[in-house]
Amino acid sequence: MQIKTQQYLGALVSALAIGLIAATLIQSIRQTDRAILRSNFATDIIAEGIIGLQLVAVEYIVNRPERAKLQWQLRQESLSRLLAREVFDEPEEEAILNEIRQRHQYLKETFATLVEFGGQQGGSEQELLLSQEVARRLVTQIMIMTESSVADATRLVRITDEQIVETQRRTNWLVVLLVVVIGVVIAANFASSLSQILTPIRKLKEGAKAFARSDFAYRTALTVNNELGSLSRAFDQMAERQAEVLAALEQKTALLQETNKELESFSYSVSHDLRSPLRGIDGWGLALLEDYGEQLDVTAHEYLERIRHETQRMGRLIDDLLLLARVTRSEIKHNLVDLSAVAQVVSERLQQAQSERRIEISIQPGLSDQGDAHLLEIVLTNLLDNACKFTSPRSEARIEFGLTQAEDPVSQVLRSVYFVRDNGVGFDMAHARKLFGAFQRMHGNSEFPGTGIGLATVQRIVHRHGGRIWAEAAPDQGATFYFNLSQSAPLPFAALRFPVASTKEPS
Amino acid sequence: MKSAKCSKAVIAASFVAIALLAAICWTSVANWFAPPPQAKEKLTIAVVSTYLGSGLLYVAAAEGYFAQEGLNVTLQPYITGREAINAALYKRADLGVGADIPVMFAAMKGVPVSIVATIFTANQTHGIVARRDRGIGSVQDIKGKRVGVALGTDSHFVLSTMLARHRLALSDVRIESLQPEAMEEALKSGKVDAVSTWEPGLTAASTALGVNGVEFRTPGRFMFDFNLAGRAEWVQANPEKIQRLLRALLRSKRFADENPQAARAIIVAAMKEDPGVFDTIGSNYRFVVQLDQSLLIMLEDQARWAIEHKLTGGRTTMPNFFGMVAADALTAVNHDAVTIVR
Repeated sequence: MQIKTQQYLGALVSALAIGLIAATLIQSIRQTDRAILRSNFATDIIAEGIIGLQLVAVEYIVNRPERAKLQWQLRQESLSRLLAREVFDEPEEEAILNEIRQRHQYLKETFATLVEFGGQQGGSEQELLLSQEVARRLVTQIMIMTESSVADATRLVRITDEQIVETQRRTNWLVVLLVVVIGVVIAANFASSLSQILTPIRKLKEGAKAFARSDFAYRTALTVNNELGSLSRAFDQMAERQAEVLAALEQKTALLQETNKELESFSYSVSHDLRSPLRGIDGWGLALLEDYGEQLDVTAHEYLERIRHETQRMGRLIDDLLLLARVTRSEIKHNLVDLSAVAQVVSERLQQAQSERRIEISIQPGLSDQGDAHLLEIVLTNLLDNACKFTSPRSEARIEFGLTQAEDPVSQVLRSVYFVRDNGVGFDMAHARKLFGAFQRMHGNSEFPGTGIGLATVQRIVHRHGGRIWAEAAPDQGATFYFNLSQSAPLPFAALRFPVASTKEPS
Repeated sequence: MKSAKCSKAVIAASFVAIALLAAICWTSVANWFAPPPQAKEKLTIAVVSTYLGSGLLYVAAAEGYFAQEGLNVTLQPYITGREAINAALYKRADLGVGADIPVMFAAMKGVPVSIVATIFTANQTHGIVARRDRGIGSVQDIKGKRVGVALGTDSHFVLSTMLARHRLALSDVRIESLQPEAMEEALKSGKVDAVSTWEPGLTAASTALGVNGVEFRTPGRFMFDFNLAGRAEWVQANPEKIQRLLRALLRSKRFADENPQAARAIIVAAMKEDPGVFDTIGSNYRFVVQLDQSLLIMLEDQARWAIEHKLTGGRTTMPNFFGMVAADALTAVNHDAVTIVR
């Protein structure tokens, strides 16, 4: 049953049960009121009616005052009016009241006869004795009738009191029943919520946690037939689909890794095997120049030089390719690497190699990170070498290595990253996508020589460390390369302070 | 093999033990729930077969209420309440039923009597039937006439009262002592000019005379009780037996209230009367099991009447009737049924 239907049904059943009990309760309260009214009526018959009649009757019988006779008549009339009221509706009560009414009528007649006989003064002695005898019988009858009426009215009071007790008892039980019904509804609702709502929610929560830890084998396996049941089944289907996708992905990844290994192996073999003939060509070219240089004209010399130059260039290209293959294949040895020191060594080497240029290299001290020292040296060498290369048109090259905060272009999260910034020629960001591709170059070889493999190698090393690399640049505005070595644990930013500059003046 | 035999023996013994245990438990449980066996107490009650006042006793006997209360009751039939009460007082029965008058006379004679309960009340059940051909058209016309009456019964008291209401003394008429069953014939044959009697004999006598008969009923609410009474010493010595009897009568009353037609059928069958006997008193009767103040008032009034008419063998003082009411048993079984001022 759907939760919505269940809730509507629960509310309807509760409302009906409570309404029914409330109606019965009201009915019971009304019955109590009516029983109290009847009880009061019966009490009035005794207290205000019969007892008063008895009192004045006794007074009249004993002393025969006219006042008592008058009071008898008044009370008799008021009691007649009281008895004329229709208060009872149960047959037993009605029968008792009719008995009292009938007796009251006889009482009226008997008292009248008593007055008639009691007032007799004259006549013979026998007549007087007879009158007295009759009066005594009549007095007896009056006393018996009043006593019987009191007893009957008392019965009425008792019956009505029993009704009051009964209705109150029923009311009490109804209240208990009401409490029980409400309790049952609450318990049923709770039990239903537990099995129909809370359990599915708990299982969905467990499922979500399992998803978070990439456990797609978890199934809620719920059979409840409500909205949460539908959600759970959709969740299970999603998990199943996700597991299938993951399995397919793992399969593809394994295939890709295998293919990649083969490619890397092939590339390494090719590169390695090409170096020997290249070295041979260059060596034979040099031997030709040395042994037969005098016999060759200028053009032949120029051709031979071009052959050697291209051969050497191809050698570098193969070296770079070999390097790229090695960084891909080699095992990473994680150690704490003093990046500032590595950058310092690399910058000094670059400055010595280009001593004719004025290059200012600023290295932030105290930067260290976990990684492979040899590979990180390759990264810094490539980035700083590129910076030197692309600042060559500048009369004063400014290169900077340090730690900063920058927004990751993929995750758009601000994080601590290393950077290498220069004031070189920069590049158009429209071509940034091919920046890290192998053999991809932004500038002509004649303008800035290179193999186009350096940045691909850098990116491969950074990726193998679990980091990311990207660049920001503009034509003639310089370029900044950002990288980190781990997505989850950026280095403390406090090290941004105390920058030091290492400037090499042209010698 | 030996081991298998042993196992079978152990299983069999276990079954026997379980069966025995179950039987013992079942017996204990059955004993727990079964009503305790009651020895049947013998009880003889003198009833009046000519009056409806013994009705509850007949119902109790027919419906088995006596037996259910552990009583073995014998109902001894008598013609009048006077005879029935005397049967109890003179040890022919344990208890007897009768109107107030025989109880009052017994008390006036000094016989120790105890009233256990009133079991029937009625009005307009007593009266006078007279012959018109003897010149009787009103109560006054009875003066000097021969009137048949069962002396020492309610009809004696009623005759006196009705005559007094019409300025006549008992001495103004010629009283003929008659048994109730002889009245109809005595009136019909002209042996008496009128009879003072009660239902159903009253209607029977009137019907027998046909148009020659004239009937005078007691005026107003002239109530007559029918009581269960016995020797004081016996009543005092048998409280448990009386309580069982009263419980049976209370059940009879409930039966009669809830099934009036069935109760009537039982009673007329026991009385060997015509089913129409109840019609003679209409609705002017009630089966009760009570002790109320009117009992004492009536006993004393009748005692005064008996003294005035010198029917008490020379006794001129009234006994304490309150001491003759044994209310403890009825109070014990139904407290509300006792309304005597105490």
